[in-house]
Amino acid sequence: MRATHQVTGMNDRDEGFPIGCIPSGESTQGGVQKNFSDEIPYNDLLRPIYEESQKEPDFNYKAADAAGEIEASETAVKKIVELLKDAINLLDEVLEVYDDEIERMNTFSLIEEKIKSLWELREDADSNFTDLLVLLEVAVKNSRCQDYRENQFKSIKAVLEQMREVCITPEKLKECRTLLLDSGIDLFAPTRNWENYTVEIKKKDASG
Amino acid sequence: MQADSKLFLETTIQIDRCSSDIDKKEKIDQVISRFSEISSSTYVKMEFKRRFIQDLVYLYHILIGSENFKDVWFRISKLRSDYHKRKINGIIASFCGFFADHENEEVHGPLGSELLEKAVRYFRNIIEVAWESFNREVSEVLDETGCYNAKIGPTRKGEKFDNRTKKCKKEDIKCKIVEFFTRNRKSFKKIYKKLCQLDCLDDEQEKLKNILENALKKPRIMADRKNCWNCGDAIIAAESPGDAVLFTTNIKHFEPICSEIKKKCTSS
Repeated sequence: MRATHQVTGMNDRDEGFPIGCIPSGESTQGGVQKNFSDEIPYNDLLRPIYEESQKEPDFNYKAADAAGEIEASETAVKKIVELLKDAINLLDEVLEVYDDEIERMNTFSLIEEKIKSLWELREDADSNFTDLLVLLEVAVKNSRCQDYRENQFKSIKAVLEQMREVCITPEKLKECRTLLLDSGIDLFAPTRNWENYTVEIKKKDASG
Repeated sequence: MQADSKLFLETTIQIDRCSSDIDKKEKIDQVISRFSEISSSTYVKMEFKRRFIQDLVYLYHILIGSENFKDVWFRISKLRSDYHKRKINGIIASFCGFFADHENEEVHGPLGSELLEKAVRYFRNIIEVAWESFNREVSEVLDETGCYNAKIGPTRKGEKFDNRTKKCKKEDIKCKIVEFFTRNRKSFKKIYKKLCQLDCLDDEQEKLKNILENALKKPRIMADRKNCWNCGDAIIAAESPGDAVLFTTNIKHFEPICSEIKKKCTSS
């Protein structure tokens, strides 16, 4: 998760805290001086105060950090939903211009950029969501996408709509996979060229 | 071919539907579209699991246990079987080629780690998709042999998949292969005779002939998985319905068997 705190300042006790996480409370500098005694070894004298000083700010730091994380996560989720909405709108446009092949493909190719942006935000989504994103990338990158029928574009749109929930259950993941397969989208496309690659490997084997 | 006839999908076709190049796949789809009733069987499903799903599971386990693609290639290179080494390498190379934005894109470093993450996610899903795809467009899955290994597909166990096949033993029979063999004894005998007449048998045909010779005397030996699996072509041909066309890419093995037991077979 990414923190979104702003750096507001540093004091002596800030050392050891992540940048941007400023613990609240009074400065401890005065406290150290107040408890100082020559009869007690300096380190022993300092320890309880140091330990004490760590507690409250640590709590505050954690609270601040947690709040920051939640805020960051919420922001990311909003961004995810926005990107999904953009992708859905693009698919609507694809369907509108379906008969114009060039415009259709130009519009459809923009969806790949949305998927790339979504991939960058995957840490803020759940694992099934990201799995689905990879399968959508397969659908979009497929060399045969130029020949996709309307129902295939519609199935991609339906999957994107399901993904707006961001939290994808295993059942929903399976349902979405089936939606893509039922429309005839080839999820095996990435591995279909394996025989061509074995020819290359054979050649390498022979020459090596 | 008749428009309203039946087609039986053999293992090679079921595998090629998921893994062959797009031109080959389209030819297969064209043949399938000419028939109205498509069937396959649990025995074919067992072979599909053993020959295709098993490779995907192996690759997936390599991927989740690797830090980078160098690791992946290294681990694959340790395979003893040259066929599997080439095949698994080919699959992952094809995957990288599909997802890389540029030809010959470097798959090491940060870009490689993202691609590795994609590979893990992709293969985790595609294993389940492949198992589910077996039944796609298939209206009937015959179960004459009651193959136990076809009943359970790849199962997620934590991060890994359990895709083991049961070690069938004649002391603990869980399927109906012996009954099936006995019921179709005439067909198996014809196949055996045909193999005896053929001149140049390859290793697989030779094994099939030897096992059939023994099984015709003691059908119970068919309950041993080595015997059962080595008789795969004969079992599939015998199970294929009499009024259906058996669809295979392995015409060399199936044509002599099918013609002997009066069954039709075709290749794409």
